[in-house]
Amino acid sequence: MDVPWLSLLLAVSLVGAFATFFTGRYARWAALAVSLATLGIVLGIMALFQPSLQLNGNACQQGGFQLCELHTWFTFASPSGGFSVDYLVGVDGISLPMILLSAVITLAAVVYHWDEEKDPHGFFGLVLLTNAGCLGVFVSLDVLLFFVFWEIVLIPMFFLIGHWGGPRRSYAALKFFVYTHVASVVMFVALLAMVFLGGWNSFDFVDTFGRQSTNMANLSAPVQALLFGSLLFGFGVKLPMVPFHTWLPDAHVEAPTGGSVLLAGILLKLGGYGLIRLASPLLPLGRTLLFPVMLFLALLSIVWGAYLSLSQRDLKRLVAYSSINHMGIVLLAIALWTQLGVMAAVLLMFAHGLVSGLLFMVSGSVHHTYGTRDIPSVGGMTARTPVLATMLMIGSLASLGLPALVSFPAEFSALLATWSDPRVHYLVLLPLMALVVTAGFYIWMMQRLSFGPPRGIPDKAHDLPFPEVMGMSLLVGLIVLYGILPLLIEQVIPVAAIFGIPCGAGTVPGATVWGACPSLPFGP
Amino acid sequence: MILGLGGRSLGKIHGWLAVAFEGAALLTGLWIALTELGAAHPYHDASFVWLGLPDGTNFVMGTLVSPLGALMLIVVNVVGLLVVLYSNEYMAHEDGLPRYYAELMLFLAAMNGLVLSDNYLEFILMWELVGVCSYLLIGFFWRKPEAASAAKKAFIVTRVGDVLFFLGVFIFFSSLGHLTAPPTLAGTVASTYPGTSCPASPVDPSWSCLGFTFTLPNGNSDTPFLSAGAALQAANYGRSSWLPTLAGLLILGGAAGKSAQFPLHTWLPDAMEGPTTVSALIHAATMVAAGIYLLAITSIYIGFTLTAAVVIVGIGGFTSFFAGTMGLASPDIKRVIAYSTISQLGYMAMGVGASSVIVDLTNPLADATLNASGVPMFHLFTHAFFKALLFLSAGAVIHAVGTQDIFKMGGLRKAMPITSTAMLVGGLALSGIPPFAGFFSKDDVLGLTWKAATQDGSWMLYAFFGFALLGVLLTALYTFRLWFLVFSGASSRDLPPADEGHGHGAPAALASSSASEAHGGTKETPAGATHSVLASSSAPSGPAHSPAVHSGPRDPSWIMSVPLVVLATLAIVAGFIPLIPGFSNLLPGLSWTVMGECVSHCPSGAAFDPTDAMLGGLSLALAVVGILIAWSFWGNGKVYRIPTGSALAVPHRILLRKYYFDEVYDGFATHVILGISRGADWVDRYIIDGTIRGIEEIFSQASKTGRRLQTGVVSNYAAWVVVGLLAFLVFFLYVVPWLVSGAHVSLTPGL
Repeated sequence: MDVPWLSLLLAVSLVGAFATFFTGRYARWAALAVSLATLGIVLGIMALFQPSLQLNGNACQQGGFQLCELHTWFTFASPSGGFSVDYLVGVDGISLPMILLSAVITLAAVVYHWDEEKDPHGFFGLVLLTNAGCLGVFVSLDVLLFFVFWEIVLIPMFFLIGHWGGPRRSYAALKFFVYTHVASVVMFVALLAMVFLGGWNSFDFVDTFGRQSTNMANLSAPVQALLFGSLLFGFGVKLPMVPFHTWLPDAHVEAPTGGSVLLAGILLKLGGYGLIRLASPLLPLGRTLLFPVMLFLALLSIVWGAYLSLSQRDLKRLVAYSSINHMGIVLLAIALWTQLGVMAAVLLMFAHGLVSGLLFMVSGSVHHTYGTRDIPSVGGMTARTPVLATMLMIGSLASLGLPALVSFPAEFSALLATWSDPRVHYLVLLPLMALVVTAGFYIWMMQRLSFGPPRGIPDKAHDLPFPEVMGMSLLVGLIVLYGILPLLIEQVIPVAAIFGIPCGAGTVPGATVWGACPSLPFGP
Repeated sequence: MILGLGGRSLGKIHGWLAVAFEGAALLTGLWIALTELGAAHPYHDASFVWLGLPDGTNFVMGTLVSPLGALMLIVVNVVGLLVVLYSNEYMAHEDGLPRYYAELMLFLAAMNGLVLSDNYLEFILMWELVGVCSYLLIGFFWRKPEAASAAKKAFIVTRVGDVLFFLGVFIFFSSLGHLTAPPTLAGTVASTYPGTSCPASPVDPSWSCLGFTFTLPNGNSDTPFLSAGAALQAANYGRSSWLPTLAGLLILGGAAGKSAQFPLHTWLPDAMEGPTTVSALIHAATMVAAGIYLLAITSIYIGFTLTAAVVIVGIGGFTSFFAGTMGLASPDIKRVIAYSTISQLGYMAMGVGASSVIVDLTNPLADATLNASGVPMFHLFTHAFFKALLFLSAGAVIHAVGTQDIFKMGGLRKAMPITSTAMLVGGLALSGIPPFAGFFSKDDVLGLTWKAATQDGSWMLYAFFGFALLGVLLTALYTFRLWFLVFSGASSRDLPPADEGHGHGAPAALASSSASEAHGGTKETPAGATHSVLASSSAPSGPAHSPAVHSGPRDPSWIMSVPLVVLATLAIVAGFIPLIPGFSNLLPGLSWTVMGECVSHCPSGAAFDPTDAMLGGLSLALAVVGILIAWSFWGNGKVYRIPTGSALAVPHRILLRKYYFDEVYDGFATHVILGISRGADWVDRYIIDGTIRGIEEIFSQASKTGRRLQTGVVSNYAAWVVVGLLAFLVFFLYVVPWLVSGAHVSLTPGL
């Protein structure tokens, strides 16, 4: 482990992002170089990642993480020993798909916006900065570091919406910023409370796999429930979870295409990731107590998202509400807190990132090809912009869960996890019925947009420019690849450093890291 | 083998390439089927792990050549090849041919994959692919709003069934633990289930339990599908449990969606908006056959409980009658045939249900080897040929006359001798007249149902059997109504004489033809103007094909005729195919019985069965009566329409409107579902988001004084973030520890 791969990743993405601000008219080339380099490092990390748990070395590695790097940032002296805030990074089976997703989505967004004319250096710099922040969140294993990156993500997105957005961009940007910032403040308070009430001697949550988890167990159930509730709010706004979702449609509608792609493709995943990484393993009693609440909110999000998509006229709003539906399934799968559930959640986040990224690109292209995203006023796209219509069809079919595309294994696993859980069982009917509605609104939307006699402004209609095709094709390729061979991404997930997940029959729940569970699958 | 089949989806550039690929696939399929004829065990190969669950369960994509699968391979690829060949002429004038062939080949590839699936997950995967291909193909003429709408309807209605199917599979999975039944792989369970003699995992090479004897194919522990399922299921569920019944009904739901059974039948008639070739494929070999195949394999590998089996018989029997009534009224040549498909699929479903009644899952004394799913599959086999024949003949007619309204045709027999003969053969086969194929297979299904009814003794089964018998009468009636109206008589009624057209259609007529045609996906040749006269009247919408220039209706060229002749031959001889030695391997439980006299594949001790003879005679008599009634109303050029105002007008209108199912479903979708959605949208905008905006408002009012802080400069905001962060640090480092326990107030920050 000579090369500090994760630091290199963060350094390249952060420095590259700042450097891009000063590259003037070469910004797009700089952005391409940085995002390609980032993706390259991520692929390198994937290659180095051991497909089984490595349990020797320092606390971080014993916690199930790989490529760990630990540097003390600063310390507090205290009577009971040192109290350190660390630069601690590492990856496991949960974060690996997420950093891959982040790098891919960013590259696709950069390529898609190749011809961006409005302040390209600022635009590309902010896109890369968002990516850097997300990567930081996904690899950091220290509460403060986590929060710093978490906040870094908000600022570039605020500007992306506020400067490059649509007509109501100021309102949407402010709403996005204030709403998610309130959530992150609540989250931060809860995280600090966990650290101090739990009596940790550092901000590292990796250490929780040793001593600190026992400290957490000293917290009474009501306190845990309070903390868990706060984290659920904090992460749930990001997810987003009904009823804290209303910032999302506004933000998406006003955001530039690339902003929407990042927002749906990566930012929403931060919420699910936080729930998996921090809230659920560290507060087992709180999780158990609030399970009904989580379940209710998840089912509500699923049904609400699906039904609301049906009546949307704006293509972007439709995709935004369908995101709420899908992330509701993610929340449901996390709430179950079984191996299958968490695996499904990670897989679905990965799938949704690719698919919603594609769909937001399509929405953006529809907007600047036809001058509107209003579904009833455009029609017969297949006649005039066949490539765009094809992309729309692939995205829609993927999103509604067509087999051989990436969402299907994820949704199938999530529904199977739901069905297999005796606490939920027949409630699986709700997401299943939502599947019909999902199919309904996508098919209906395609009927109106793509088929029938051409409507809209025929003169303006020209098919996709090359960069947009390339950006979309990248995502389509991965959607198909991981749809046919989901095992490629799915097999790393159980190498997860998630604590307190039931290992399966015969083992004490919560006694070990998931990755150390005896029966790892994927035999021949 | 996989490569040979998978590679077919590559054939997309040109029709002939597609023909070549499909021909190769047919040869492969035949080779597989022939191998299967002589094989003692199904061929099974687990190819690769598709998805692994954290509990150690692997979902494996494998290949299973089961007897029924091999039979289906023959059906799919024979019909597929002929349809692709036929398309080369029929679709020659259309736009988007590469897309057409690509979708067609993907459709066939998915269907081949489906019948070669070795587990339910793979099955679902292929099942959905089949569904989406049919969606794309039905909507091939996407410029026409009707086609786009029909495609949407097909997708969503079948999706309802799919969701039920998913849930059924989930029940199997959670009850049995596996979709492919690899419990020995896990190696964890060895005991028997409490209170039974059933082993908890398959025992190599065989075991018996609850009166069933189970053998692992090939002695392979990774058993395909759930061949071990019945024992495990019966043991797991408990015999009186309702869960297997529920699972069976959910599976039926999926099959009903795909195979257009009542009450999910509404999409199939609308699916006629697709090209006729696609209709032929969907109806004969691919889409709708998948549902019956699902029922048949589930019946063999898992089994249905008695309740579920009776419901299947009921749905099937009722559908066979119900669809027939609608076929009686439709004026559209393709829709009549579509209703006949729904009706025939009803027979097949009924046959599966009947064989499941006989081999009742919950009856420990039942002999699983008596499962007679081969009987309905035999009907599927023969039906595929004569239904493809009917559709392709109808396509030839439409191609020649440019309308789909049978009341506008007539007397085409002389002009189109090949087509009319082909269609006559198809019609006779459909009606069940010997020696045509439908007679043998339909009689077997009826005989099986009768056997199930007598064995079970339930009045319900007799009632459903009655429906099915009425269906026989209706089938003959509407089929020959169609044939007489189209072909009999002296000459065309409304068609312009052949020499009047010459491509100078009245512009007004052209303009008044439906807008869909003007913008339509069908590219009109100049002569098309002539026939838009027809389209301008109230002809059912459809791809108004233009006939060849300068001539009236006539038989198509060899490209379209060859498939007709081949299919007609098959429609005649398919009924005798079980006489081929070894073929019984592909049709489990079928004994080839004619009029009570068992000829081939007889059960031991078979003797002349007078009941069966009577049944055969009865259904034959009903069919003949049906044809005679049709003759009396429509034969020899007569055109009988229900007079308006007569007593029959009201039921006729109900039938024409398809019992108002569309209205009810559409109303439900647009008013209830969309209404809820709009209401929810309002709540979302004004209540949920309104609350948020209300909070914003309160804060903005309250912070009027602090407005100078809101400089809009983000660095200032960032500063505030830092300030807040520090405040939290202070709070938690000093205040909280002090609050929690007074002892820790001595915490002092270093650095």
